[in-house]
Amino acid sequence: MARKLAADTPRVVTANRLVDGVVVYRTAGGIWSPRLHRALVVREQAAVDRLLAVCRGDVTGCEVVDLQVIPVQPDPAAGPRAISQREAIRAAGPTIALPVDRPVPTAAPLF
Amino acid sequence: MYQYDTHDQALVDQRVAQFRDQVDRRLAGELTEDQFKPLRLMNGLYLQLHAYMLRVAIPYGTLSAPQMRVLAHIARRYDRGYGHFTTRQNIQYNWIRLADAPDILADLATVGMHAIQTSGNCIRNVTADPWAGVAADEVEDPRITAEILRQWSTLHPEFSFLPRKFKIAVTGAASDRAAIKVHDIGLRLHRAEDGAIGYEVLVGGGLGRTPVIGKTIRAFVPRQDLLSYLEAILRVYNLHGRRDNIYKARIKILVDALGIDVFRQQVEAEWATVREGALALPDDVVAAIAAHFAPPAHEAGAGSVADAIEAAPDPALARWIRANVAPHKVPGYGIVNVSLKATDQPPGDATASQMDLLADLADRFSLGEIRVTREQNLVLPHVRLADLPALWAALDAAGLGTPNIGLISDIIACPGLDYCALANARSIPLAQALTRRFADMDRAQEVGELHVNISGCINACAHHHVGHIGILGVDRRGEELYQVTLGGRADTDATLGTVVGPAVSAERAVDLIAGFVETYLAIRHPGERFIDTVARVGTAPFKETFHAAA
Ligand code: SF4
Repeated sequence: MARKLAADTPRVVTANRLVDGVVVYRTAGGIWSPRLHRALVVREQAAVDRLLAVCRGDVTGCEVVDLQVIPVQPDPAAGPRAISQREAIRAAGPTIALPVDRPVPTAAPLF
Repeated sequence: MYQYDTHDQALVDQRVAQFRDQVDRRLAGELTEDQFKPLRLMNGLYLQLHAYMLRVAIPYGTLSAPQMRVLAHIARRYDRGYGHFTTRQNIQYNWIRLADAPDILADLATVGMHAIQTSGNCIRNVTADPWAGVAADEVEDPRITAEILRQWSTLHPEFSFLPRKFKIAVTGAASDRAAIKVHDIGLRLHRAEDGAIGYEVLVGGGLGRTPVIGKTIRAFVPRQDLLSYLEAILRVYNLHGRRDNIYKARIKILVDALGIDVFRQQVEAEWATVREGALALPDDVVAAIAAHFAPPAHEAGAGSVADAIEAAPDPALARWIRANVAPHKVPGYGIVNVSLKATDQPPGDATASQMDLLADLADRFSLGEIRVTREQNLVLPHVRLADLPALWAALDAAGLGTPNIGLISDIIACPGLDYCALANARSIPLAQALTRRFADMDRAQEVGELHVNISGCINACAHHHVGHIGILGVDRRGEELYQVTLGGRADTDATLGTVVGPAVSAERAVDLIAGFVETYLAIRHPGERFIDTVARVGTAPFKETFHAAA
């Protein structure tokens, strides 16, 4: 849940989608998007609290789990960016190339 | 191999049905996350950074070819085409949908597998020497004991809510390949003077935040008393373990607080109350389980691994045999260790196609058996030496022929911050950078045995405290840094490593390790491994390397 942050820190609300665990962010349109740059940025604590109250409804409604408020770097043109390495990785995925399941030569037949 | 009986199968099938119902109720909103989380964790399902992660138990690291094919199927059908073999001889899938988890468990159940007790404060999957049943230096196959423990500990009602998780490892050999000294309980099979089989029992070992080498609590527990003695240890721990503080809840803290002698007295007192009861192990029960692990029918053969190296027509094959094939107790056979540490490969990862191939190769060349090692590699335990060229060709063509077992690029690394919700720093990119730096296998063989372990946080899933070179990822004000230790080892002479200096960047860690290797090569005595040199000279010359590079 929300960590103590300085007043007026730009923040977004993130969670994981219940059904598949995918990382999602709350947008201004009131939906959950897997794109951090679409997230609604809030600054004042009262606005954060209001947003969280709404988002808790989606926790109760089994759409998302593990609500968190995270600080972000706002960018009016490109949308918010993660500040911490952890959140950057949550937003963009692993920093490594994932193994690719290429066909491999099969073992020669037994007989 | 052990075959499930009707009780085992019924239990696993029931669990699938229960979890299916629980997931349905969770998705329908009838269970809250607080209610559901303990249920999913009881089935090895974690919520990680990007998705759910499912940890599947591989009892004592032994797999049949059909089981491996199901693991490949799960990777392909429900995940992103790969899985991650862990230091606890399990497999983890990183991209699981909650909605698919019941179907995955149902598929696992078709081959006698599950995810029960891969999480939570219970007795976890029992681990064992990956060379069980084939090692030349073995007193007895430790899987017989591990299977007895599996049956005893599975859904044990008294030990389902321990103060903290509990890990048991078993070795049946003189050389410890199961790291028994860093487990909550470590068991070493050996014979008494009269030839009877029994156990040296170690207790209170562990890594994590407070690393401790286990202490011998009893030098010999007769086989028939094994379960009653372990029950007594667990009871004392269950009663007195620190449930009030998660950081002090492991048995190692209790043993340390009481002192091994007082702890032993309490265990002996408890043991006296249960020793003669229902837990005494009858010989016929042991014999029935041992029958599952009877040695398979090996063909008559001759020759040694040294002969196979000599006879190899290709220098690359000779190099692979030298690094990856160990002596088997049956003449004419070898233990083939399959490296999951190719250059740039995330340590321990295998694709679905590689898993399928390994299942086929196991059927063709290894009497259908596969093992998973603590070092995150795989083993084909029964390979005729005459088949090594054909096996190597098939492995190499699939990216599984890297000749680096036990060498500097055979790095143990946890998933780290690329996947793990608890991580402070990434492990895999550092491991990959090291494999690139040490990609020259001739050079790596010249350096010799050297274990590098990288954990992304103090939970130490990669056992960094007992790496010859251990690396711990730390977060210093948002910066990923790495603390380096030297001189740890997980073998028979298990030792915790010593920190050599302040934490450094990943780039610098790679240079430092290269510097440590140079220092070692400059000062080693003939025949000395890296760890022997560190034991002889201490860390001082390496600290000089550290500071010179600062
Ligand atoms: S050591 Fe830490 S970062 Fe690595 S897998 Fe374990 S908990 Fe995660």
